[in-house]
Amino acid sequence: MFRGDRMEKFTFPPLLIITFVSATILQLTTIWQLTVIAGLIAGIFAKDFKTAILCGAIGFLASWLLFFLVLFQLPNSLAIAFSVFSMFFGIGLILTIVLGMTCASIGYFSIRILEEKRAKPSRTESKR
Amino acid sequence: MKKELVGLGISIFIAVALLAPIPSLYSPSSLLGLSNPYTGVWPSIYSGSYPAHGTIIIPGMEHNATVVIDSYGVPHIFAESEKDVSYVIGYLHAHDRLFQMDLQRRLVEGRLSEVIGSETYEADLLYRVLGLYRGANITLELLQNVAAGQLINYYPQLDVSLVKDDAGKILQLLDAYCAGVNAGIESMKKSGSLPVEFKLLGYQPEPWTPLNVLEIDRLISWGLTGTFDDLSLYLIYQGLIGKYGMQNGTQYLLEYFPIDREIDHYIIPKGVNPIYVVNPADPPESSPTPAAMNVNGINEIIEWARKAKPLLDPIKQSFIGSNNWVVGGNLTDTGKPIVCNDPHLSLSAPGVWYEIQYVAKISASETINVRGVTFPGVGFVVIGSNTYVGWGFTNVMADQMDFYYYNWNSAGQYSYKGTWRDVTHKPEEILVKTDGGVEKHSITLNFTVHGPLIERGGISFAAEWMGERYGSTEAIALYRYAHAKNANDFLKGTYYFQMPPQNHVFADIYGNFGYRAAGWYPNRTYSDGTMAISATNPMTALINRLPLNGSASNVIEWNTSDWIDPNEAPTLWNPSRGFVVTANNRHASNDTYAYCYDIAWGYADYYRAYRIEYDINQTIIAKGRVSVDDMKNIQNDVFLVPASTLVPKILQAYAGGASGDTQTALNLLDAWNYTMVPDLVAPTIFVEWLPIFKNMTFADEFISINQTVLGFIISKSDLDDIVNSVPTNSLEALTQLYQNNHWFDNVFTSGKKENATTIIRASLEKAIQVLKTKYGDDMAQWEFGNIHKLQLNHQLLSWFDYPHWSAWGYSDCVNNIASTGNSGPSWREILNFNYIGQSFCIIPGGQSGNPFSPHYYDQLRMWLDGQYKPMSFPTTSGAVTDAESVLMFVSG
Repeated sequence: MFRGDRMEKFTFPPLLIITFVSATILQLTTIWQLTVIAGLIAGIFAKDFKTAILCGAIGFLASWLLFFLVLFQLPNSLAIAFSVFSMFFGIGLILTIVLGMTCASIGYFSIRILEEKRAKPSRTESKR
Repeated sequence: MKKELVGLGISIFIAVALLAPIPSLYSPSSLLGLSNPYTGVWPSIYSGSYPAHGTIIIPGMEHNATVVIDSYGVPHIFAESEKDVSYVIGYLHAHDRLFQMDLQRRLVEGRLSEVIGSETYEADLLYRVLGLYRGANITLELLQNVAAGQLINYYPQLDVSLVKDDAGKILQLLDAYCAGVNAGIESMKKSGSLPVEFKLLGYQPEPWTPLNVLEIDRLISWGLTGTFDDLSLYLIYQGLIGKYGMQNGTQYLLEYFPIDREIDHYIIPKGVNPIYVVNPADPPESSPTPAAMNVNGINEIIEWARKAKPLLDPIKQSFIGSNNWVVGGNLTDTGKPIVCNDPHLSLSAPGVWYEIQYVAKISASETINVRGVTFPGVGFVVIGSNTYVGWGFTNVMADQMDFYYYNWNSAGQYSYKGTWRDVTHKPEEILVKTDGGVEKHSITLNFTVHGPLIERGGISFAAEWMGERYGSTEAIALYRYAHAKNANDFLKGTYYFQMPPQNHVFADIYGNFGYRAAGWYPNRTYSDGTMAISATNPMTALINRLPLNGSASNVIEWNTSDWIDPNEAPTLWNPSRGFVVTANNRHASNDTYAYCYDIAWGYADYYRAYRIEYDINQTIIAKGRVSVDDMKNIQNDVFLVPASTLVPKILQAYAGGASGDTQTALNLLDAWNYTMVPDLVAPTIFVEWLPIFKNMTFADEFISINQTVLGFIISKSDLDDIVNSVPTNSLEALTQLYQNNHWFDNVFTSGKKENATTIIRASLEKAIQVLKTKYGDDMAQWEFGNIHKLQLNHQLLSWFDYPHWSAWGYSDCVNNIASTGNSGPSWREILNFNYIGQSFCIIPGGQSGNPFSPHYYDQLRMWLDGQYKPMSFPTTSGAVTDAESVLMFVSG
């Protein structure tokens, strides 16, 4: 992961897959709040801020939609469920995207701050 | 660096806002949790169906059991023991009806506010006072004592030695049932598939216990015997006496609420239909004279109960009834009896019943095969049949509740039998859900020797309800019904059916059939030992219908050493008439039955019973014998008897003709065949007219009484309740027999005397105006189907209501889908004892309480259209012809 004193960064396609897979696995724990970790991963390993929030948003969204696809295969009245719970579904989807973006931002900014802190002493040392 | 810090701060702030566990349905964390595809509402939806094949583990089961779910979602259970059947029923109840069960448990325990909030606090408070849960606890103790062979001191008539073993088995079955429910709960918790209602309300169910089973039993009993009518009748009586004096006031009360009705129809017929005229001019010494009490306080208590009513009455939301009848083999086309039953209870989504069939080994060589309906939360078949005997219930409308008032001293003591007694206190806490968590409310329950004190508006009554004070043994009766091998066995079992008393009709494959108003009824006696109520003295019938003076020197109390037990209840065995019909009507006349005033508080109008008998007799006249198909037609009969007796009176009132809309309405009524079908206009006119006719006849007196005697202003809804509670056949009797009765005179029109004809005309014209306002001038738009619609609604969320389809039938029809659309036949069964496997049944809704299950309301349309599904009794899993799912239940 680490090359020298800097963490390895990923471009959009591989990071999206990492975020999606980790979010999906963490959902299987049945504690949905743990998906926060997947968002943090997206931020920590993103090459830039845009990649971080896109991976967070799309990774989370894709992970949730995957479960819905599975549910759709089951023989029951999901169509009625969606009509009843369309509000939950719509708002939940938006909140999920926001959660993915937010967690990725936290990861991204945290790692930038850490990296900058790590970088500062080395500059001081060089001045000496 | 600064930019990153600001970005991090904002992101953390948003994340905290999203994830903070705010206890509100609409908080971001709740919405994220509920919409999450893995843990949110979706798995609950998916779990509505059973897999085509599956294995379910229930720790503790003795052997494996096979369950076949049929195409209506009805489970057929094939087990090696009754205990295993109980495990399985528990699991299935939890899977299909857990939220309904939990809500009812919380209702009984006065713990709804804990999960719903302050809006249910008053209902919780009332339930704590009423103490259904205390009664459940006493019943559990009773069963344990009976199983241990101990005598029950308040039931000296109960021969414990006869039922000791049964009680022991029942306790085992209760434990097994609860283990099954709890296995179901655990499995749903693990898979995140708890019913969606739990997720929306944000709580999880607690484990189910035997006490909870008995709590649901108490809730049913409360629905069928609990009533504040003693207090309502007191207010009316007090008002009538205050306005018209003791003699006339009593006479008027007995016209408004006749103990002996001049037009009536008895379950046990007499050779000659008796007409008994009460002579209020000669009140006997023992007639009750109501003491002057704080009427405002009484009104507040009634209001308290009224406001909690939708929650108080999951079984009985309004005055409703049931039908059952049995026709002996001499009158059927097969030569074997047919039993029919349609209990009319509150209709809701999901419904009150859960159907099952089970086959269980009870010894090495014997099995029992039982099918019928259970209450979710209670693991016994309540109404149904085994392969030998079948049965059906209607409510006796029993009087198992009295209210006592007392003299109090300044120290807060009450007078009882000449001494001052301290009230017993019991502190409790009610938890109330709030936005910030849970609030604790400390309350104190107070008790006298007669029961818990209901206190409001400066007045208090001790409520003595059998279900709170005494345990009961109906579980033993139901156990014996399942095991009965013939009608005689069954009749013996009815001895243990204590509450809520039910009119049982039954028959067996050998051709025997009969009837019993099974229940244990309080025998009210004075403290000197004399009986308080006598069939030969109709005035004494008011004693148990009004509050009692608990401080009287010769106080009237329940004699618990001598109950009116089922052996003294109305009973028929192979009656020579060839059939028995009950429809909550009066059991017997006062000259044929000694306890005719003791056992029931009131009776339903005679219309349904009369119509069923008429249908049976007409069929026999036309065809010689009745068949199962005839029984289906009778259960779905929508002929309205009161219309057939009152519409001619309307037409007679306009003998000289009318004009305009009135004449059009008269033409429609004249052409009407008195059936309540959706595409006719005449039923709409009649059902709008009848309450207005009642109102114009009775309301003026009650408004006057309230203004001048009772001293409080009666609200419109209270007035409507009082007026609507007048039995329609009281009004019919007045209209038919006493055209110039004083009730028809409007007390507010001085110098003018109205009679039945003038009130009929005025009420019809008002009804037409009301209909025009409601539905427009075009009478074609007044079709009955537009106004009479089903209202089978979910307890909490209107999203999950059943469709509001136009309904046939009406209150007082045999097909008694009430005017409100939310009560009616909750189960229809037709048991064919020529071959029990060719019986029929249907429920209004479906088996599943999961709104997304294909069985949520798959029987509703069929039920509405008068169709039935087969009620078969397969003996092996392979014999279930329409299997949808096959499940193996195994021990963990």
